[in-house]
Amino acid sequence: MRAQAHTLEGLVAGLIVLSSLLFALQVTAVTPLTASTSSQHIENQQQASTHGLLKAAADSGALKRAVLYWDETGGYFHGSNPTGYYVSNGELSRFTFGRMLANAYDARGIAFNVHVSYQLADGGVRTKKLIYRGEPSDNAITARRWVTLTDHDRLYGSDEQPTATELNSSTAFYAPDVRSGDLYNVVQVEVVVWRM
Amino acid sequence: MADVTGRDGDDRHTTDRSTADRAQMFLIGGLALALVLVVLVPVLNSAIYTENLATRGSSGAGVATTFQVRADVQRGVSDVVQQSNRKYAAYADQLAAVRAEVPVLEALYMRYDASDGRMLSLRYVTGSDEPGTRIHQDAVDDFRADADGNSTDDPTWTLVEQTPVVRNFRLAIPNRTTLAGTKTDAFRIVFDRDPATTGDERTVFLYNDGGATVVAVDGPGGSLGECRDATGAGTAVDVTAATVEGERCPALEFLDDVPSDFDVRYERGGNATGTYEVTVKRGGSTSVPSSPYASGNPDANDAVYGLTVHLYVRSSDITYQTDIRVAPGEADA
Amino acid sequence: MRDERAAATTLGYALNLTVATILISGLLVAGGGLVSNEREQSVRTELRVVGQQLSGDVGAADRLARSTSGSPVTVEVTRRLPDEIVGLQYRIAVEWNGGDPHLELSTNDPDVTVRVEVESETTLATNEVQGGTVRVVYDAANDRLEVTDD
Repeated sequence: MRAQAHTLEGLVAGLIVLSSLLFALQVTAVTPLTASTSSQHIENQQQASTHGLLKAAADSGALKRAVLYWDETGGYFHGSNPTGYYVSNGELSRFTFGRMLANAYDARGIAFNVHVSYQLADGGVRTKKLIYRGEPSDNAITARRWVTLTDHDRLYGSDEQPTATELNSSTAFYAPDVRSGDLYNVVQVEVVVWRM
Repeated sequence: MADVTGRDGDDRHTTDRSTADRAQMFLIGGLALALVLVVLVPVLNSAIYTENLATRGSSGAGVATTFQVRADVQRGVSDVVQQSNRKYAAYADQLAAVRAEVPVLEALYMRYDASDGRMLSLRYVTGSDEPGTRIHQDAVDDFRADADGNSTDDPTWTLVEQTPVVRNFRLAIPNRTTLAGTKTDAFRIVFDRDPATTGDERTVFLYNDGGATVVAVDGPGGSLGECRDATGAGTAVDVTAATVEGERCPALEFLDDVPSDFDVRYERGGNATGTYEVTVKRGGSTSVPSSPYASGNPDANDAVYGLTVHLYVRSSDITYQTDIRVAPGEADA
Repeated sequence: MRDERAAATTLGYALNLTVATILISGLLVAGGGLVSNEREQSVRTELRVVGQQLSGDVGAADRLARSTSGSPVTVEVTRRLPDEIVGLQYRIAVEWNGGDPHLELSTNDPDVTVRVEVESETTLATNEVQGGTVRVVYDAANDRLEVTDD
């Protein structure tokens, strides 16, 4: 009887000690590094470089030209028929902003999407794809820039030269004229960047 | 006789007891050790949490967005000012149009930020408008004008007298063969502080040196440098942005050094053909002569030189409020 | 003949217990020492991390402040730092030092002090704040940045 009690006692004691040790070790074994933190560093880096690229594009006017790179007769961005957006590097090299993105990111195995958002007269916001290269991963970053369009801004032709068509006389432009004064619309260009 | 029958059992009992006590000691010791290790866990967990915290950049993204909003707002109001200047003739109409568009811009910008939990407020700072004059030649012609009102164009004429600052000074020469071949004959733009004295001017020369347009700048201390452009048939020069055909030209970065209130003068205007425009600010002693512009080529119209808007941006992490001066095309804007 | 005599039994018993106790307590002391050491290391590392983040925020507020002009001017950067580090309260002291600004973060028990450099062209107000949510505020009237509690 006593022997059985002793055995049980010993067994239970051993189990308690063992399980508490295992618990302690198991909890501390959660490694804080590798995947999550290193990708966070890459995200920070990409965020900074995308901000810089967008600023350079906005300052040089390449961003506004990309937003107005619209084929009035067809109703799509130049050369983006039938999908309506650009995918390959060849298509991107037609306009300066596309070349800037391709030069900055393609060689480093980083993919990017560009979405153009515009406002409607009733206050809604719609988004249109300009460049689409697939679903972003979980560690993607975004950076954005606003482009103000006025009634007398001109659309650009496929050679990135201004055409004679002004925005307020265009019929097929994707964004509507939301205000009766000189302003046409304010467009948001959002670049999503992630590592492939 | 003593009763010794139970002695063997007692001995075993004692040994058993000491072993049992030892075992219990081990048990308690093991438990205590395990407890100690478990106490280690929150310490290390806290360290893990902080390591993770360490990877998050500082409000870097929030700060970058604030700067982006500031730059985009400045550019947007800038575009509206340039539009208004071209669309309306009277200064009062131009200013009223810009002021009417500022709340519209605010509503449009705020629409994008509302869903991000960011608030934006933009308003025009009353009394901050700066009147100016836009001098422009839109048709391709030589750079002469009738300065003395005798119906013949003069190659040397003053565009504006005693202006504190100019912006958006752009020239386009579609065909460089219309330029003179040497620097001595070259068409020149003179920024002269005091027309009565010589030697204090900055002069921009434009001439064609064997198929390449040369933009040379001379200052009071001698030459400030030159830039060449051999692409295409013509050249576009932006004096306030200091670029020649889109490329940066350090020699043209002299405008900051010109002391306030200077004349702008063209000399040998017959040795260049093209279009140009410049917007000058009307300061206390500025005067725009009327006779060169009487014929309409070039033309001098009222324009809004610049104004100030007040921006207020607020998100959960950052509050930012400042005045922003809008003067499209100014050298240091 | 039995050789377990009363004295030997008691001695054996006591010795067993004593040795076991010494072993166990030795182990416990070592374990306790390990925990305390780890704790101090953790506190040091975490203070450094928190200090670097706050330093980054001060630098960002400085850049924002230098871009402002006119009036009224506001720059406020808020940062939610952890309230406690390894269960300890901590203090952050901001020193301008005549152009060589730095932060000093410290806890009381264990007594740990960490010093982090700060980059700022705008003057910093010398101040001391508790850990937790912290705000970097630009005082336009005196042209300086102040780190305050929320």
